[in-house]
Amino acid sequence: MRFFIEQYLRLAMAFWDKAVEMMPRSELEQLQVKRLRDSLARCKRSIFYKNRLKDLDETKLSKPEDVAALPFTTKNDLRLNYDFGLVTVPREEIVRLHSSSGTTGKATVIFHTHSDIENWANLVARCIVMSGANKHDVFQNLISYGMFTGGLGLHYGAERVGMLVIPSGVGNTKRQIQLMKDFNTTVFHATPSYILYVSEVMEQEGYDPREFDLRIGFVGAEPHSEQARQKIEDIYDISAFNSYGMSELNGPGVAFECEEKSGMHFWEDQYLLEVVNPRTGEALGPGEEGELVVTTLSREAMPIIRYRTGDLASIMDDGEPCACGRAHVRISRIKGRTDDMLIVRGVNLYPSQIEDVLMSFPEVATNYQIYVDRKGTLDELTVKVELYPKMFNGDLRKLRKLENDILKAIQDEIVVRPRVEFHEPGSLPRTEGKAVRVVDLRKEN
Amino acid sequence: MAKQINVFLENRPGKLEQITGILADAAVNILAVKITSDEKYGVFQLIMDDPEQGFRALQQAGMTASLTDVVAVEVQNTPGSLHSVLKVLRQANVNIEDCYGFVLDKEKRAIIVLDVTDRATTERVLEEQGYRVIGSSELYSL
Repeated sequence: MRFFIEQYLRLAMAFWDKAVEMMPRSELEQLQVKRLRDSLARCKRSIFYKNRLKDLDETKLSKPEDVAALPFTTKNDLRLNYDFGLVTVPREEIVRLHSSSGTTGKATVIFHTHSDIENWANLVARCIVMSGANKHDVFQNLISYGMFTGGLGLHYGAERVGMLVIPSGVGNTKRQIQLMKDFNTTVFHATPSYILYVSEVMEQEGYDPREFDLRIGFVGAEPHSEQARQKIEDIYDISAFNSYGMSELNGPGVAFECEEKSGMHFWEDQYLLEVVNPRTGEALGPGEEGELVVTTLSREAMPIIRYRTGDLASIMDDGEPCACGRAHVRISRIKGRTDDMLIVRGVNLYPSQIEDVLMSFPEVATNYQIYVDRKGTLDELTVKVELYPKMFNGDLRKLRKLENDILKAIQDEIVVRPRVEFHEPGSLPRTEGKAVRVVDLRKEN
Repeated sequence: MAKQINVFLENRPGKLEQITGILADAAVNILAVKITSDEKYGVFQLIMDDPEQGFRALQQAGMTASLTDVVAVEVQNTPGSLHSVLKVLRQANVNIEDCYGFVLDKEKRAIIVLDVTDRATTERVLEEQGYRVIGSSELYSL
């Protein structure tokens, strides 16, 4: 009997693109090989890959794993080939660009053709429908729009599904709550820290977050724990889904949880996934944690081969295909980053950006530390700096001014407003070899 | 001109004691102390009998210290003394950033320490009014 119920439920499940989502493994792999060959041929039109792949005969690739013979592409490659170095189409075919944060030569830009945007919207639609949401839902997108891919990415996907989309962005929390109430929002997308903050404001305003019509939440763009997800589910009485993506791979829509919530399905018809040892680059098997390396399979404007995402995760190794029936592999939560990129309040930043600012102040010594913590529901960034004794003139007011000047300069660079703390020289911990510059206390929460 | 030592310190238990320990080991006598502090950090300011020696000792111990000029003026330890000094400075339109004082032994004398924007004017107007402005070496012999 149970078997029949499960079968029935499976038949009742909604799909956006059932043929692809339920494609058997063998067909999926054949599709990957075909698309990989096409993509490699396309890559050769770009300035960057023309040289790098000049000796490659892509028709010789016969299985997905053959991609391992190709060179990696790194974030640095993208930076060095700013602006159009990886583009394979004439400029007039490009309809949009997105850029990651970073203002001092650290920006990376990704270009899209009309067809890339279509494809991306369909991928996001696939994720949305997989969560159980549909065109009858009212979708409020409480996330940064603009260059950040989370905003427009989900926006286009949700419109594609046919949801009523409220592009409310981040901030003006009371208005967000008013919108949720007035238009009976049922699905939201937000960073975990912001949506938890919204619940606090709801309570201050005398609302019970569970009394709203919300039923599904998409949380992402910020590392968060399983506990944080459960907290969000509990506070709002909703089902919350994890999302994975990065601007280099379009943005959201790369991998997403199904209703089983047993890892995120990685859309293998669009992306070829490898997990490698971040130090040696050697391939790792299912269950082994390593760096995700991803090849785009159908991006036109800017295909990327074997991109070192810097994200650490593993392919789920529970021995069985997912109960939802989708053959696309599942990845674990992102466990961390190979580099030290930080995501604070949804903003990507590198410690080196903060270092650059600090080192422009002669009053500051070379030792510093960046602390990220979560007070209540908001990320807090504290920059601890040691004073350079020779620049100290004994005036507390000058120190306060200096503190404020440093704070503003950092905020100008990274957008996030930090706290600045002065310390005595030698008082911040020093370690042998590579300094521990970043202490992320959020992981322990 | 008298010297004041300023030490940057994190605001937590034991920090002041660390400084006084260094000065005790250097056999420097502290004549007056003052603290300006924030929630997180502060500046410990001291008048010593041998500021150069004290400053060297603090530097060698890795402290963030600086040596600044202040005006030290001798007054009678009697009611109205500080008032008279301040009156002179007000008349000369001197702005005071910081002011504290200490009493000398039993001789009914006191020292007022003044941090002002215009030290030369301050010293001149005080001396014109018959005050004795104390230099660093004199503090040593007090």
